[in-house]
Formats: sequence, structure tokens, C-alpha cells
Amino acid sequence: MNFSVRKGSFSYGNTPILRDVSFSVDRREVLSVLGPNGVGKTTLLRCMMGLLRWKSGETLIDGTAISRMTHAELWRRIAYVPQSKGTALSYSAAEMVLMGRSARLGLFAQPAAEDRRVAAEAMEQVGIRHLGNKKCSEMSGGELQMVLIARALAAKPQLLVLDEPESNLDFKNQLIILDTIRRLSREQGIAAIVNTHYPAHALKIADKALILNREGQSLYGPAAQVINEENMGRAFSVQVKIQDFLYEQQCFKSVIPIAVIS
Amino acid sequence: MKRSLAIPLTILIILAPFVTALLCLGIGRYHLSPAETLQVLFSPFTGYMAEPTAISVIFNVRLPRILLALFVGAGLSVAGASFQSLFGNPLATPDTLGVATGASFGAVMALLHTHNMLLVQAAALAMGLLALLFTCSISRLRGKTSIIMVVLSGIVVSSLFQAMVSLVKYVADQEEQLPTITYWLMGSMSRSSMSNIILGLPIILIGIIILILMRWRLNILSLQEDEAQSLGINVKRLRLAVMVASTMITASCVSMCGQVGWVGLLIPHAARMLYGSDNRRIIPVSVGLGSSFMVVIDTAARAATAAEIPVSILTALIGAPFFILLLRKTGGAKL
Repeated sequence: MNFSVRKGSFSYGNTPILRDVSFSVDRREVLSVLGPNGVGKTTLLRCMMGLLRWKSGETLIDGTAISRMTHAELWRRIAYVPQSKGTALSYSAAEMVLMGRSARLGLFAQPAAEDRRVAAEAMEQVGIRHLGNKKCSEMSGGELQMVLIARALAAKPQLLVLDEPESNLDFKNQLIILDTIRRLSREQGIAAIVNTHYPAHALKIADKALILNREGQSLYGPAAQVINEENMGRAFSVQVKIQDFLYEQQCFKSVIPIAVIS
Repeated sequence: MKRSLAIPLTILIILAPFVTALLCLGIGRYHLSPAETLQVLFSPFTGYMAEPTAISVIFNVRLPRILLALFVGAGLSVAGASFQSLFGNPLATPDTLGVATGASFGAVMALLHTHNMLLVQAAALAMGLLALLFTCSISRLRGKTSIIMVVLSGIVVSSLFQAMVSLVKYVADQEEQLPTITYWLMGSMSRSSMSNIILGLPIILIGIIILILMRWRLNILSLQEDEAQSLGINVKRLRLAVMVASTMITASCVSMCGQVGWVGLLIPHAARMLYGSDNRRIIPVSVGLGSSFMVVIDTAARAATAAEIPVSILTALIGAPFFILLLRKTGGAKL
């Protein structure tokens, strides 16, 4: 499976948001979309999945434009994990994850035993089997994020799209989310596109990176190359140091913001 | 809810419409025991020689009325539950969205000119949909709707159509039309005869069946638009289908028995407090609770006093305290 965007541009009215964005993701790959707040990261995700219409350019899955696919065809291959804020619904985790089966069921169909099995399996994969009966409105941010990821997995997608999955979470939960994304892509061959505003997180899990600038321009390439001090400094208007840190023969990269560039 | 209570309660809710209907068929100035009622009810099949009065009371007077109450109760409850999911808003009901008032206006307009029930139904449906369209478009700001905007828009649209209903009342003939319209608006099942309800009941039934079939999709519809879309459903088309089905039910109810308030809010909430948020359970439970509730209320309306009490007065009188009790006990049901 290959997912690619070719020269995608988008603007709200006369304000250009995205200009000629191009990238491509294959199975087993993680692409990180980086950029400061309000630069249009969510807009990019929405455009590339067809939730918003590109002003020009197109999105292709295995060479076929998604505008030529039906709803169900598209959403059996892509699953979207939106930002979890504002989900005050009191569905239980099991009910919520089951909704992920929707793209594979007919309009009047009810989920059957097989769908419940797949949903339970998805919950197992991200380690939240025990949350089955807990209401989403009573969950912590980390638990809810896991439920949303499980819901996406229940669709058995080839591409997972996550919008800032680790923001608003504590240390531990950030690590759990990042590891889960990495593991899913490695073990199950799922491709992933992840929005984040933490360069360190992108360095940790991503094979490729796409950096969005205020001017609507973008930089795309292998994560280890594109995420450097110069590019980060330009994108975030912050002077940045990137440091390697060796611990038990593993290299951890930390991105340290030094000062705001005015 | 405790697990041990769930199964008996569910059986009770499934049986409730049948039991209440059977009991209420016998209640009234001409009293029949449940056993007698059953004998009379099945006399066409069994050949049992019932008293002519009993047959007439059961088949011509009470049965149509109880059938109407069953369908109106079930319909308004299901429509309420569906609107709540559609708007992701526990306060959305046929009443609060202005749909019921819109349908009333349509029906009243038609009643002014004709007694053809088909036309009354059609006018109610058209105006109900128009009201819903108004509420939807007023409350939608930059592609987003908030709970508070939906409720406020509903109030505005509702009073707009209420004013137009008043206008129709103002110009109506005071001797004949006005009393009919006024009484009808308060909600009454008393005009029901087989010929009157034969047109409306199938419409309500079709609406209910559509919503029952789509009950799981209603869960997804209550999520945010992007989320629902990304779960592979065509949100626009599904929304439209739910709106038309719910409005069809409401309009049909309104044109047969006027505006019966409260049911669309009360019953879905009671169902949610008992069974949680999953519409796979809420919709069927609303059918059971709503239909039996309405039959009981309507029986009280006709049999409690010598004169008939308008049914919406009773839904509020009985519904409000019951609802307060439920609210206080469970802290309210979220969607």
C-alpha cells in the first residue's frame, strides 16, 4: 500500500494555508508532520483524507485518486484518530471501539459476533481490554486516546492517521502512545501519519518527516535528515539544539529549545 | 444498573405495551375485566358471542384510541431519542427543535381549509421539515453547531411558528373552527376512529422501523462530524434520512392528535438512565416505555374524570415530577 499526496494546496478564502505539499508513505513507515500551532497540520490531515477538498493537487492510494473511491472503500483502508478533546460522550469503551467496524457494515446492519471479536482484539492490541465497560466520559486523557486508537484499529486499516495523539498527556502516557504507534507499524505493517509539535517525538518514531512553515511551504524527507537544528529553528522561530544521548547502547535524541528568535 | 436486574427489567419493558393496552381497553365507564377484554378482542376469531355493546365499545371506541396512543407514544419517544443522537444534544426533542410547532402550524393551516387527513398530514410534514431546516441552519456557525445554539435556535423557530399558529387561530371562524383547533392543539386522542388513524399509523410505523434499523448508526452520528465521516458513513445522507424519518413521525403524530409535549424528552432520558448511551438498546427501550406510558396517560385523560382532560396537561403533570425524581436519583443522563 502506498499513500501519497501530489502538490496539494489549500486556502481558507484568500488566505493560503498549504502550498504544493507532496509526500508519500509506504507500509511499515511512519511519517511525522511537524509544525508550530495553527500552521495547518490538522487542515493537512483533513485535506489529504478528503474531509476537506484540496484547492489543487490530489491524494492517491496505490495510484488511485481518493476522490474516485467510495466512502466505504476509502475508510476501510484509512482510519483516523482525531484529537480526543471534547469527547464527553458516555459510550463505554467497548461500544466506542465497536464503532470502528462501521465502514465494513451495511447501512441497516448491526455489528455481529465477528465484529465484537475484532473490536476486542483491537483493544487487546493496545492493552485496554480491562476498560471495556468504562464510560469514555469518565476516562483519563491517556485511556481515551487508547480507546480512539483501538477504534481505528478495529477497522483493520492499512494507514493510521493520528492528530496530535500525545498532546495533553503526561510523560508515561506519551511514551505508551508513541511506542504503540511504532509497534503497530513494525509488527502489523500499518503505515502511519502522525501530527505532532514535539520534534523529539518525531525523531523517536518517524521514518519520514514533513515540516510545515508559516508561509505554507513544506519540507519533506527522511526524519533524521530533515529534523535538524536549522530547519527546526526556521519552522518554530526558536533557536534549537539537538543532542544525542546514549543509554545502554541506544541513542536517544533530545531537542532543546534555547531561545525565541524574534 | 445492576446486572441481576437487567433481564427482568428488559422483559418487563417488552411486555409493558401489551399489558397496559389490554388493561386500559377494559377501563372506562363501561368496565371490562382483562379476561372479558381478551374474549371480546378475539371474538371475531373464536366465534365467542360477546355483548354488542362490549364489541362496539372495544372495537369502535377504545381500540383505535389505544392503538393511536401506542403509536404516538412509541413514535415521539423514538423521534426524541434520534434527534438527541443526531444533534449530540440531550435536550434536542421534537418540541425543543421547533419541529412539533412547525408541524402544528402546517396542520392548523390545512385544517382551516380542508378535513382531508392526507392533506393535513402532508402540510404538517412539510412545515415540520421547514422548521427543522430553519433550526439547523440558524444554529450552524462556521460548520459547527453547539448545544446551546441548537436549543436557542429551536426556541426562536418554535415561537415563530407558534405566532403563526396564533395568527391562524385569530382569523379562524370563532363558532366552529376555533374551538376545534384550540382543543386539538392541546393534544387529544379522542377524535381517533379507525378511518382517521389508518392513514397516520403506517407513516409512524415506517419512521420507527427506519430508525430501529439504523439504531447503531445513530451512535456514530452523535460523534463529531469528521469522526463520523472517518468511520466510513456518508454523514450528510444519513443525517437527512434520520431527520426525515423523525420529522415524518412527529408530523404524523401532530396531525392526528395535536401537540403532545414531554414524551420526546422524558422517555429517551428515562431509557438512557436505565440503559446507558448505546442506541442499540435506547431505541427499542424507548418504543416499549413510550408506548405504554402514552396508553396509561391517555387512559387517565379519558377515564379519570367525567370530562376529558387534554393529554398534554397530563403528560406534564405526571411526567414532570417523575422526571425530576429520575434526574435527582441518577444525576441526569448524558448522551
